[in-house]
Amino acid sequence: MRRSARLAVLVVVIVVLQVAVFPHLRVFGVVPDLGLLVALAVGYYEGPEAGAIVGFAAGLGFDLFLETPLGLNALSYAIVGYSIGVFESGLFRSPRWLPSLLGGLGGLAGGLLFIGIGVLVGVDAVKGAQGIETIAYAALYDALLAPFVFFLVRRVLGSESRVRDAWSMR
Amino acid sequence: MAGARRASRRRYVLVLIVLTCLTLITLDSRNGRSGPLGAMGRVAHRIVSPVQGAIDSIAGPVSDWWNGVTDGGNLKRRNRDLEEQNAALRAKQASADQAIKENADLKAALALRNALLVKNVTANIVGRDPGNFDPTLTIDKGSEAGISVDMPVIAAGGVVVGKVLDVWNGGASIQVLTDPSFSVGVQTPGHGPGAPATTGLASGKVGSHDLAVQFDAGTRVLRGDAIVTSPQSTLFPGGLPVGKITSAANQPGNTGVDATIHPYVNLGALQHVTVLLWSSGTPGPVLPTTTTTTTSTTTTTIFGATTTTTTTRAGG
Repeated sequence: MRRSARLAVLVVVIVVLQVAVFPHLRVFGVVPDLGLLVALAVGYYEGPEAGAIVGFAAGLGFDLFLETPLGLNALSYAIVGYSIGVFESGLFRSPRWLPSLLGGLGGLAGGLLFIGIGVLVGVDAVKGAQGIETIAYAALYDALLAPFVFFLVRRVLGSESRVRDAWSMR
Repeated sequence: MAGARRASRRRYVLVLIVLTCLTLITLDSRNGRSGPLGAMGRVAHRIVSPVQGAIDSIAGPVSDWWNGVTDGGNLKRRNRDLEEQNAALRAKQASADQAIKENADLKAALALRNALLVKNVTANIVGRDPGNFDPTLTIDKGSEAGISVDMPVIAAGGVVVGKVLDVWNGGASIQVLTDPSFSVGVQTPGHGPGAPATTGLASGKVGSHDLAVQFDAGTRVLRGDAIVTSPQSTLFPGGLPVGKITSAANQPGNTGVDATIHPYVNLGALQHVTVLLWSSGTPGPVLPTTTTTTTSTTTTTIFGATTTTTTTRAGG
């Protein structure tokens, strides 16, 4: 199967896991952003363009199940996926803890983007201090799951991945 | 040169995605879920709902265990049933308190009784809060059961849960009453001739599980007052228990009274809900299911409890 097809299947599986499984696995009342983690991993391994496209697809898939405006997650995931690809090009080494760091920071950035755009388009639920608290917990959860998602994406992309293995020092 | 072209292409892709997203957000915000974008969401729900239902049925024990680990207690499953019963009892208590107070309260109790006789559908909750900012419930009954958008959703004891937000064949999503964009007309119990029952519009509060409501200046609201849906509400039949007042204060300049309502319903403990097949704006008709034989038999089903009355009257 081509890599793009494998990635498409991964995105579908991730969206189903997000809406059907992870609501049962809340930590401090929050769910992780699995689609965002996939966008981060793809952006990291494949570059900004792929990160943005996968982020858009994963976010849009998740948006279909939410009552927040369609495209809100797609936009925040795409921007974060793109940014991580740009950031990756400036990295000289990739220690083992990098996926967790990227997951945490990416989760925080994605959450802040979601809240910022949400406030602009009039989503009431994201307003207030509790919104920041929620994305902080979600970012921690993202950091926890990031190594697994990065590993999974690495396997899906296969050996022809553009970038080096995140699990080893470079 | 090639690097510059690649960078330009990347920027082009990003700009394209950003513009697409902004267009989608704008269209969705303006048209709601009635347009083609809403139809896409309903198709996605239809496909994933069976998976959600299957996972929900097997994930219950795992979920309880996980919640026990992450929330610091493993008594949640036992508590869930007790909390649901407790909520029902609190609601009954509230209804009983009202019924013995005043004429207005008796009317509210009658309205509640009427509401419970409205045709209804009980559905299991198969999904809840898929995101961190999306307080919705997904149920396993939809348009095939007669459910349509904006129908009231209640729990045991008639306590308000929310309203139907979106519906498809085989499922529906429920906007819960604590959602900041949810609002419902409510009524105070009244405290004697000088302080009659007053209505107001209660809405979910941002970052809270309570409701905020504003009453006219001079309204007497006491802590612990049982709040029910207003008879003037176009969204819910009147008299359904909503919650109790936890705080009330006069606005600066005495222009009104700001109050906070703590809802009776425990959303986290809910396993199933009842959708009232009641159209917005109708007065809450009593619609018992009637079957006629040689003798007249009237069967009324209220929350699964069936009452059968047989008379010798011929015909229906």
